[in-house]
Amino acid sequence: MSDVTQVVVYTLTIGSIYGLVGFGYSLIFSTTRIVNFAQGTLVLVGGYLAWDLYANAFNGNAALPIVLILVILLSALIGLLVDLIGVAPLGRFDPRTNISWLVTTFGLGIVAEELVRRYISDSSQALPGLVKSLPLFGRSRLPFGVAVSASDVLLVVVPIVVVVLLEVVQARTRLGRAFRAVAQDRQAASLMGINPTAMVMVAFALAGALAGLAGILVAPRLNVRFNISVTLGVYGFIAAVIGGLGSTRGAMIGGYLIAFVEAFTGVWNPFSSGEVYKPIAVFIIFIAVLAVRPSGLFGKKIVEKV
Amino acid sequence: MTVQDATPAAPTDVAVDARRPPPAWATVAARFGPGLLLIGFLLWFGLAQQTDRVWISLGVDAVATAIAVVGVNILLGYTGLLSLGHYSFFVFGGFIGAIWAVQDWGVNPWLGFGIALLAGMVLGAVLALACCHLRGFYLTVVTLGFALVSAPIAQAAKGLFNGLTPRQVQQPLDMQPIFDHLDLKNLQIAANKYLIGLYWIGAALLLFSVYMTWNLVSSRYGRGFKAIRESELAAGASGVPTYWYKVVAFALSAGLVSMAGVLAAQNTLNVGVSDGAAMVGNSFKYVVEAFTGGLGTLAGPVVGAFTFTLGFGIQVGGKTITERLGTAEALFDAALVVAIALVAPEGIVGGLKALGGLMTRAYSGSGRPTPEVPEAMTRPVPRSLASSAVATGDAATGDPVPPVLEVRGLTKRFGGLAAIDGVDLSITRGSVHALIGPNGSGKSTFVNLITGIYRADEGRIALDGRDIGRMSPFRRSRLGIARTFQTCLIWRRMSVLENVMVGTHGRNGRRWSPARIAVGVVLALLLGLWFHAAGGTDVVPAFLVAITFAAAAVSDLGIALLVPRFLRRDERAVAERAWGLLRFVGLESRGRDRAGALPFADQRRLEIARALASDPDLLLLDEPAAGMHPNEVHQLSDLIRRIRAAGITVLLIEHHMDLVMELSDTVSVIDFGGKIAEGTPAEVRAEPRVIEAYLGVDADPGVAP
Amino acid sequence: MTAPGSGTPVAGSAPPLLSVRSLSVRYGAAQALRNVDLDVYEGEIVTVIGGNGAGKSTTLKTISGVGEMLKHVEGSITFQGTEIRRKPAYRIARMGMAHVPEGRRVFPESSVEENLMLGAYRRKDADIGADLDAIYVRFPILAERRHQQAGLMSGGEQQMLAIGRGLMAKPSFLLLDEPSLGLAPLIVEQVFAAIRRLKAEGLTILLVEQLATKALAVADRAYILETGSVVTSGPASELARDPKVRAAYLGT
Repeated sequence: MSDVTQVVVYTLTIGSIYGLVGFGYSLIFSTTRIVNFAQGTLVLVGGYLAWDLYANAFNGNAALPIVLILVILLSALIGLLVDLIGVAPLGRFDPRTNISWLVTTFGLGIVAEELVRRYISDSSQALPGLVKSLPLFGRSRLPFGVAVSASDVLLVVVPIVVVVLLEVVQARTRLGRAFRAVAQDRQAASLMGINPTAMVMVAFALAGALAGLAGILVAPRLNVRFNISVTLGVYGFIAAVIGGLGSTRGAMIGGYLIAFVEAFTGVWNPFSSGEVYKPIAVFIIFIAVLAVRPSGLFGKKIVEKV
Repeated sequence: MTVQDATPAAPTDVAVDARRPPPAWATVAARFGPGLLLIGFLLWFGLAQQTDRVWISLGVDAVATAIAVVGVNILLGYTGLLSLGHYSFFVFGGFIGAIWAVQDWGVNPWLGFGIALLAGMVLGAVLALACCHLRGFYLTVVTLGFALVSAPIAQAAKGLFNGLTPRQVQQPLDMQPIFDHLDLKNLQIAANKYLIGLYWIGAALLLFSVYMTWNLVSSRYGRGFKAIRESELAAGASGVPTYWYKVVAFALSAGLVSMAGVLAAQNTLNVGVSDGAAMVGNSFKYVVEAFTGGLGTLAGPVVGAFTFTLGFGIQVGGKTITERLGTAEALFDAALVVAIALVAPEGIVGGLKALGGLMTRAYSGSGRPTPEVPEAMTRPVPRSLASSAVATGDAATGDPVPPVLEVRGLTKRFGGLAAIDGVDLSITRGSVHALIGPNGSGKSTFVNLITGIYRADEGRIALDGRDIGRMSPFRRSRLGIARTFQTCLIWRRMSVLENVMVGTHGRNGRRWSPARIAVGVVLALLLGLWFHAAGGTDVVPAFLVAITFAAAAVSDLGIALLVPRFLRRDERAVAERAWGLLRFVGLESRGRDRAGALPFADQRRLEIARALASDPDLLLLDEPAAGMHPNEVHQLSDLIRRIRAAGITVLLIEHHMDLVMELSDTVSVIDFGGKIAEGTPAEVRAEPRVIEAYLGVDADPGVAP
Repeated sequence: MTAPGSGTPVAGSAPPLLSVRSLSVRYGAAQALRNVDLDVYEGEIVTVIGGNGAGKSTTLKTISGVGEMLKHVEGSITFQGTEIRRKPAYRIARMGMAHVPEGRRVFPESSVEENLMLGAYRRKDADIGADLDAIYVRFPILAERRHQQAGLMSGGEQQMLAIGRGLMAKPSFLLLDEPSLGLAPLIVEQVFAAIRRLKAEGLTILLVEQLATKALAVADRAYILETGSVVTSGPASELARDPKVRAAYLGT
């Protein structure tokens, strides 16, 4: 592959994953105004659950799509648990002055990770792609001689489908309207007949499901391993922040931007080893974006009425 | 309407403080008990555990962690900013204080602590300058990123950091001089003497850190930090330079964490950057420890740090807790923290305080009786404004008095809509000038333009003839514009007194007196000589370090950190002035209560007292009577009269027409962003356009609107 | 039949729409309400007046179910014959009670129109569009600002939006907490005119108001709260003439 196609493929695939993880942060932020620091770990948990189900529970006999559905359901449940254990009991609070949520979500992330380590596996595991080949392209061949695996194609397409779905839900449906109302003022939302507790539960479950999906999609490319909870978790978060927390398409574009910066630094770099400079370049871009737009690219300016 | 000389009458409902002050011993115990307890514990631990190598090493670890958490608490607990990257400062401190300075620059290892403190502050300030314009956890994400790039930076600059492999501390501290004087008969002590020495140094540094925080929180810096935590907007409008204060808080906390890093480096004799996950995880651990102990308390960080380090070293049935937990320690820690967050969100110390009741009063001087305030102090204006008071009288005779505020062609657009459209306004010194108009006519926008919350698109705003249109809110506050907010933005978790004390921020900055500079020079000379002669450092580095130390010590911040409050005359003056203002508005009996506990009308009065504390030329009152009961409105009216009598110009935005008509010298009416009428209350009331747009045809302003 | 300690009910012998019996509320150690009895009959306007801290807003919040979580509540609240004391706010809202809270509480980042649509969140009927237009006719300033962020509007505009939002629910019972707060005199007139019109249209209203003169002028009956207890109640016109009430609450 030429340098250019390498950058393009990396940007699209890895960027999609960052975006997909970023959606989870965005979704929870747009209902609760908190950041779920367990989100990165939930990706890891999803990956390990998939591997465990596939390799151990079904001994590799089940079709991966069935595993996929099970994992998404389980991940949604875990997401819900984060809310029920760590967030809902805090009651009504102002997330800007009370940071208990930060401690509980981060703490629950560690708990989940340690549980995986103890009861599922403590080493890196491989998971085959969801599909071996794509009917549209035959086997792993795209135009211009670009070699892409079928799972890479899924990696690009699925997040785009998800972003469109989420955008439609948020903009067009009563659920989306209720999410926004709950985020801005829970008490006033309940006066509108909206059940805020239920809305937050739905958001956490959806975010959990998204994390599970991300965990499975990324496994064929990065394997299932422990440091993805930090790399994916934090990069997904940074993607969501660059895009503007609360904006789904922002998270997607933030993901592409980060991945592009990484790929670019990896390929065109005056220094010997590009790997080392990737995070530094991402950090610099991140600071630069926030310097120009403190609420992210698509973030709403915070209005404080006085 | 002519201005009658208003006789200052005490508000009618000044509450009599019925509570008995707590007994003196309880006050003393509450004030000094925790500190003495800490000293006692550190002494006991050091003496009792010096024969046990494991424990004394754990002790060094504990004090190092405690210092770091004290630093994190300044940022998170007092200023309300969360960093998830402070472990990077810890590692950085280890490198600069124990390796680079010593091995590469030839400085005496003992200076490593001070160098790390200052270098950490500088690095922290650099990072803060890039991210302190961000609100909420956007800043947190930047610090998270900072932790993550530490590893690649260490790999990129291999010469300095040795990549991700730890670098050895080749020239550890020389403990021999300390132990020379001791007769070491106990062989175990002799064997542990390096760690024992390190422990005592660490204990001293910890006490020093706590002492500095103690001074800090009751200085103008500390009060500014807390005001930022409670409401940054109100802090800026009260003269706190919010951006710079956030940078200072960040720098201080980074400095303390760096200093702790040197101690840890001297303990383990190596320093290394780890991968991103560990850097973030360790940073989070500081947050957890501060949180567990109690955020925003002095003792909390120490309690939290000791719980997680020493507490886990306690033996249960022959094994330490750490040993028993084994690989499950991370799981246990995390679960414990979640449980604490759910059960005791105020942390251990916060919970104890709530139980103790004695210490719940926010102000450190709790329980002391209200000081006698000289009668002169109860006037809101210490600066002589006699001339302007005379000017008020002259206004009637038509003499041209320069207006205190002059606005020309002021315009502000939101989107395409002009909220304020070419408004001219000039406010006579010493008058009460009312600004009325329908809802949405642009009154609040006008106030926000004058105070600098918004920037005008066009036009000129001049205060005493000086153009202030481009200045930030805190600069305008310092030049003499004070305001209250429609939504009543007081700092709820601070005491009533502290609220007013922050208000004085604008105009009592310290000056560089010759005495102060002299102290700095002498300090620099003495330190330089000492470092060179006793420390064996070369002349140039010795004096460079000495000059830096001395300059830092006599800076505003250095004095706030190093000199206790009760020795500082400026602090006493600020407190006395704040008490005077509380008396002026009739709140002196509530001075030590939490501001959030005040009833609604009192919160409004507190906001006015805070605004007056900045010693303003112009006071903007944004709907001060909204939601007030008729009797409360009468009291407010009386207060505004007394403010004017003290020579302060008032711009009053209000819908209570009886209040406006009764108090104002001039009334300006705006509608759709433009001025439609101006004149005396009687003139304006008769103006058909005003009746049509604002008052309503059948409105009788004599009765409550 | 008369409501306890009050004047003649408007709706004859029909049971009250809302009936509050010996309601007591504590926040920690502070007693906010003490044995409050209060009735609202179909089609009438009842006003609750009293000083700051008397418990007016607490009464409304307890009725609509949005009171703070930690408080301790005793007594009974029946709405349309159902006990609602233990119901969460969103369920009470779905029964047809709309609460326009103190301090407006509009959704600041949403547009004016979205705020209004949120008012109609529970409705599925086809009249929503027509009702939206009716709100815009009633409050023309909202039509002008329809796409503006609600948080950027002035306090008075937000107040109108909050009332409009409450009406969008097509409630059978409206709780208004300090609707005149921060409004210009002319707008205050308009708001009270709107309240009269709503009454004429058959809406039942419980009104908490600082401007006691105006509240008594528009209301059928009134309750006066003092430090958490009902001290007087009766027909609004009688209370408005009572010299003691005038001295204490009307500022005259």
